[in-house]
Amino acid sequence: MSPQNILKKAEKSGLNLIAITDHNAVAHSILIRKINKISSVNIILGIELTTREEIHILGYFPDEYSMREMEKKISDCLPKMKNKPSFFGDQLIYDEKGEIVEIDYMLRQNALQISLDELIDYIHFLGGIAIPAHINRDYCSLMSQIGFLDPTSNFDAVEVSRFEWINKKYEIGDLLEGFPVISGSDSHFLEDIGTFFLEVKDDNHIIDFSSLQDFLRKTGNEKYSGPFL
Amino acid sequence: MKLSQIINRCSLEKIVFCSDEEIKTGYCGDLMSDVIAHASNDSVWITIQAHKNSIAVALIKDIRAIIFTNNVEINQELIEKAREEQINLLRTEKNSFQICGLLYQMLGGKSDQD
Repeated sequence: MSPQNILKKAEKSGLNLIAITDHNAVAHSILIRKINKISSVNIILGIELTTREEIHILGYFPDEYSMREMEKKISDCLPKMKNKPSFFGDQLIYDEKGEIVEIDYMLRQNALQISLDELIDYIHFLGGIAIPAHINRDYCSLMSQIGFLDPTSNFDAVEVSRFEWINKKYEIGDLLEGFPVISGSDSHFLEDIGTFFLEVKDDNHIIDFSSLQDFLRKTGNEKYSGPFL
Repeated sequence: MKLSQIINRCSLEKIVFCSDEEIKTGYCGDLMSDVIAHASNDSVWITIQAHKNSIAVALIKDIRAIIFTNNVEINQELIEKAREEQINLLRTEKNSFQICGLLYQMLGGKSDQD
């Protein structure tokens, strides 16, 4: 799953907007945007973070600076433990040429020592979008860890699993407890890319971070609280 | 105490039983990160989290036996992963409070914090 291969597969699958959202890691998300020369595929910077309560949160960011700030936060909050390659595989880091330059030995499949509320606030502080991931899943989700979706939370959207999206026949623009609903392929292997995607209606032009943010604000109940001043 | 003795005395259901480990203590936790930070390898892990990541946690900590509580549903994927990695999986209809109480007495009232 090098960024190069992901791009090729995305182009082949006809995808127009993708994000790499690695667990508690930013390197490949930043890299794929740097190396992208395919005009039909747009990239949003993103990451999947794990709160102290072990809830997965998708964070999307406007620029490399905010991603690097997020990386610093992760460094402060991720417990210093080693990865178990026999179970999780080696965490390989690629460069612009598609060569492996490093192995990440930190256990990224771990919880950051930061609460849900603090993390959402921090993502917003960096100008990012915060979306609880796969909220319907029976582990690492809002529902499994907290038990309910609070309508007064300051999430920008909620994500359901692709199976839930299909089962409940969601469409872009739908709301759940006042939050825009999204979904994604959650591809962990190259062959997953392109097997599931969201289709945007003509009048919604979502091709980058700004247009995504505008769309979510327009659709949702204006829950975005703005960056701290 | 041998795992088999624990299984018999607590009437635990054997989901995967591959090795009769010597158990010295126990750890109860449903947050992966908490168990990773605090459990010891000669312990039995009591949890309600019956999913594939639980195997990862057991491997990281070298825990050889997990007891799932509240008769939680255990899917085939988890069972196969446990067999592959040689982790004993047991289940009880009791809740964590009840089974921990029993185990704590049986293991001489010792936790690894003592």
